[in-house]
Amino acid sequence: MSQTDLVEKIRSAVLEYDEKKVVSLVKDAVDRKIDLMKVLDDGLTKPMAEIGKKFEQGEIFLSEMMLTANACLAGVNLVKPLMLQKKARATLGKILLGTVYGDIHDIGKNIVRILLEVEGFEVVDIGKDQPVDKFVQTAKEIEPDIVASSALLTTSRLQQQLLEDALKKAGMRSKVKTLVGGAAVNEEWREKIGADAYAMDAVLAVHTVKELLGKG
Amino acid sequence: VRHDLRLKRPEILSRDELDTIYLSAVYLLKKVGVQIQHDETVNLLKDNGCDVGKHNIVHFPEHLVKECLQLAPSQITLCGRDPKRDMKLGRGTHTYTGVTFMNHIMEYPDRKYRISTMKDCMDIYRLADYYESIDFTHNCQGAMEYGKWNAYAGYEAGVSYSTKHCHISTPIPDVIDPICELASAMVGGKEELRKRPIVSAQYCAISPLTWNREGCETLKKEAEWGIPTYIVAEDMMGATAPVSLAGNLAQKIAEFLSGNVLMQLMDREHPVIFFAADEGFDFRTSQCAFSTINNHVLKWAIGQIGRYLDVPVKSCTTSDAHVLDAQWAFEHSFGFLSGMMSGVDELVGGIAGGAGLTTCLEAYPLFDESIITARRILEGIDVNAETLALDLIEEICAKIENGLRAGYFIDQRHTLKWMNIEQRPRRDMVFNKDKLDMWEKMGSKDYYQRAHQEVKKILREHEVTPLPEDAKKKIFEIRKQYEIKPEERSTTGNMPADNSSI
Repeated sequence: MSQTDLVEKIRSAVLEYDEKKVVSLVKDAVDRKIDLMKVLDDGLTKPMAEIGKKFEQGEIFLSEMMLTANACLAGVNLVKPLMLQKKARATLGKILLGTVYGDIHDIGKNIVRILLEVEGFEVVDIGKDQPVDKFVQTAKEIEPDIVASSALLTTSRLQQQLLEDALKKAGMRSKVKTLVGGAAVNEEWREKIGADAYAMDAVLAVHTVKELLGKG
Repeated sequence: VRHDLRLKRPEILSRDELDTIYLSAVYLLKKVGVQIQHDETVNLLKDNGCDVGKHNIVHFPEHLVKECLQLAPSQITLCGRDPKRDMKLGRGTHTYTGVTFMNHIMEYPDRKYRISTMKDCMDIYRLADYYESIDFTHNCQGAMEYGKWNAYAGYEAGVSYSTKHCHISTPIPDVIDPICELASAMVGGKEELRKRPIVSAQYCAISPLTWNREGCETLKKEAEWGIPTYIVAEDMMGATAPVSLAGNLAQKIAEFLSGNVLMQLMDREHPVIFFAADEGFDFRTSQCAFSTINNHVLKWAIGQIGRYLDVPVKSCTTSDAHVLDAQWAFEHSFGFLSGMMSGVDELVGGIAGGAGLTTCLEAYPLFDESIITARRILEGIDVNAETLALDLIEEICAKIENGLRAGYFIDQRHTLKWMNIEQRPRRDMVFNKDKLDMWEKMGSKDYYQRAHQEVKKILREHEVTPLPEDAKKKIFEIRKQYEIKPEERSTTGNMPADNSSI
């Protein structure tokens, strides 16, 4: 099987959201020393971009996009360490991500994580129901480019305001960009608390992260 | 889409009550009689044992009514230009749904009315061809620039822009001939048309208990051509029939049975459908009303009556609202649910409002969603190992991150499969599901605006299977033979002052 055929098979397996097949084919590509950049770009990232576009245009539903993203990510996770070893592909940026304290809704946050990882960002996900201190402490440790927080409830979104204050108090606010999202959040809220950006949904969050970091 | 019925049909009438209503109808036919304003038909009935009194009031003997009811087929196949769109009516096994359209069009965005034209008919049929939930079309009034030939012109548009069954209604008997000539040419001759009826027609009894001259002439034409006939009983509750539902139903059934006797005497085993058009009456405005509380109650009974008489039955939903608004949506949605729960064989309506005078193209998606929802309710809930999904619940719950359950169901193949089977999310964006700020970003559009965008897109993009060349040639010949052409007239106009034209 030629390099082109194998990459095409990986692409098809991603579009069929067949994680096992993607892993097996990517391993095969690694063993056969096929150009990993080609595998990553044409076999994994491009089909995901196609699916993302279809989702944005309302042609497919969220489950289809997420199944594709999982299949894509399974391949990316195999390829990425090898490429980093070769310094062939550096991460696009480091994102600290979490759902704020008092809020156990993390589906949207998880979707954002997967889509960012697929795009090539390094994501440190601290999980759900996380206090402001945890965000700040982790930010100090990992020095992210962006601190992204999600809040589904109008009661819990107050934590995003506290996070802005805490980052300032810790002297970190000028070193990171902040991104807010979640069902209870809108542009008006972002402006009120002084966050750098707001994203209406997971796909827009990826676009927004790229814009914030000048990677768009 | 699965069409199997899992729910037991609700029964609004007991067997004793059905017997009582039916026997009351037989009593009305025998004792009160039906006025037949057509001598030839009166003589036919007289020759078959009916008594004829003053003013051509015909009294039907019970045995004749029963014999003719036995002759009426229990199941009827109505055909589409595309055989895949054929419908098998009867015994309440499935409710087929269709759109009807009227002599006015509500124009976007001003919601003003104008007389409907041939072009409107083409659009209506093209949309009907597109939506899977629409099984047939009913040309009630359209292509008004063709004057008395409007039903023919509507049928021409119907076969050209849709591959589904076309049903027509006309108060003019002469119009049946060119329609059936076109239909028979398309299926290969008059005898073939009996086998593959790609057209059906109707006529209304004049309530109370009357068949007028045009009605008898029209039924005669339909008998000659052998096309399925809808015998329509439009008994306005409290105006032309009792307001009390039992009496209203008895009169309706009597009118249907009388029409069926005529048809079976003219053409033995002629396929008939009982179209129980539930019409109410508004006692404040003195207008015919299609969506009173009684209309909805009556609809629940009609499917049951069809199964009792063992003939296919049809019902309709129409809104009394003059614009596509909350009233329109409520009246149609409730009507569809009532009709489908009742188990009528055909249910028509959907894009008609203004108490049966108006057509609104933007109502199509609403119709579509109402039908999909009602069908889904009838299918019930599948309970099996796969739908219970216990293994999946266990697997998702086992995912723990930072000491907290972190699994969810969105990215599961099970979700993708059963979301499509059970939830059936729409692929268009007519019904808003967006978050407020996204909705605002998209222009804060209401249903009417979004539906208009969708309808325009379908009209632009949907291609209908073209009519065969010989059928186009036949259209040309028929138009020439009958001198059918549009009249010189304005295509805009006001609504009639009342409902007398329907």
